[in-house]
Amino acid sequence: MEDKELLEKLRKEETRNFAFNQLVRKYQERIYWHIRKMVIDHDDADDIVQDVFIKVYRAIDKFRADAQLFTWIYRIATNECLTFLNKKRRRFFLPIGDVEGELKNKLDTSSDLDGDQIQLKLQKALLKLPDKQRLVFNMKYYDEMKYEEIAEITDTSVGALKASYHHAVKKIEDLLKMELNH
Amino acid sequence: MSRKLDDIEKKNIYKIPEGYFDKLPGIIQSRAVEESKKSSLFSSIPVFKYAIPALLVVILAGYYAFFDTQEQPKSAIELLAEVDTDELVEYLAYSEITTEEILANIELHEVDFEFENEEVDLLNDSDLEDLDHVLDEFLEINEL
Repeated sequence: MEDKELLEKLRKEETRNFAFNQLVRKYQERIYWHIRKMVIDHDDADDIVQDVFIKVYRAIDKFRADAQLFTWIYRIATNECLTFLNKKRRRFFLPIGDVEGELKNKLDTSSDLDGDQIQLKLQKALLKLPDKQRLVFNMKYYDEMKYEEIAEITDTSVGALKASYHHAVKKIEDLLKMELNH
Repeated sequence: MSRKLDDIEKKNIYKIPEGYFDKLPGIIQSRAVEESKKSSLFSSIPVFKYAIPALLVVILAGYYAFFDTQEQPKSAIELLAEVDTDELVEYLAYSEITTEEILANIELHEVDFEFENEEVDLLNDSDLEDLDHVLDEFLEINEL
């Protein structure tokens, strides 16, 4: 179902639940993986993806049709990830390094991973990036989104995003070089 | 082994439980329906919509009225004013404080005198002068 039709049905009481179900089925995987790559742990990602869609359900009447529906949902998911990671830091008074350490530990110990060593090293290198830069990297590299789409989601200029992504790539390559030389 | 990102295969290394995406829509739907039931219950009953906020305002106002007033401590004069006059007189009668000591500690110009009979004319200076003459004459008579 096209987003326009989905929105029309979502705004009517009698078709809201059916349309919402369709919306979740349409976008759940993309949103889930976007979140999962940030928080690493499946259970955390599961909690957050549910919260994201509940927020969408609550706020659908306020959604302005001049924005893309998917972009809006993606933005909610992005904010929820950042909030989750910030809360983690504040709750335990952890400096940034320790949250990175915790996520790195999840990579090392999780049975929910299926990757060779280079992939693991890549994920660990990504954890060294600041959260927002990591988000941009994931959207560009893994989701292959256009800079204009990412700009709408993050409310950042295309120029700043390009710079951020290229710096991220350089940093990751340097980290991988160091890692592989050990 | 390549260190360039472009040479590394783009791979999703994260696994999910089997059937996860089949079940997720149902779980989310149940939560959404539950939430909408709760919110419609509260908004459909007018008492919840209007009375609860009003009640909260009343409770807060009451709290500040009764528990948050910071009373200034009473001064000695205020405390003394609350004591019954008869009790005060009785106390002074049996205490060892002399009249002179009491008068020495009162600033007469600060005390407001209240007379029961406001129509009584107090003696003025010329009256007092006349009284002196009368007393002098009386004493002269007595000396004679």
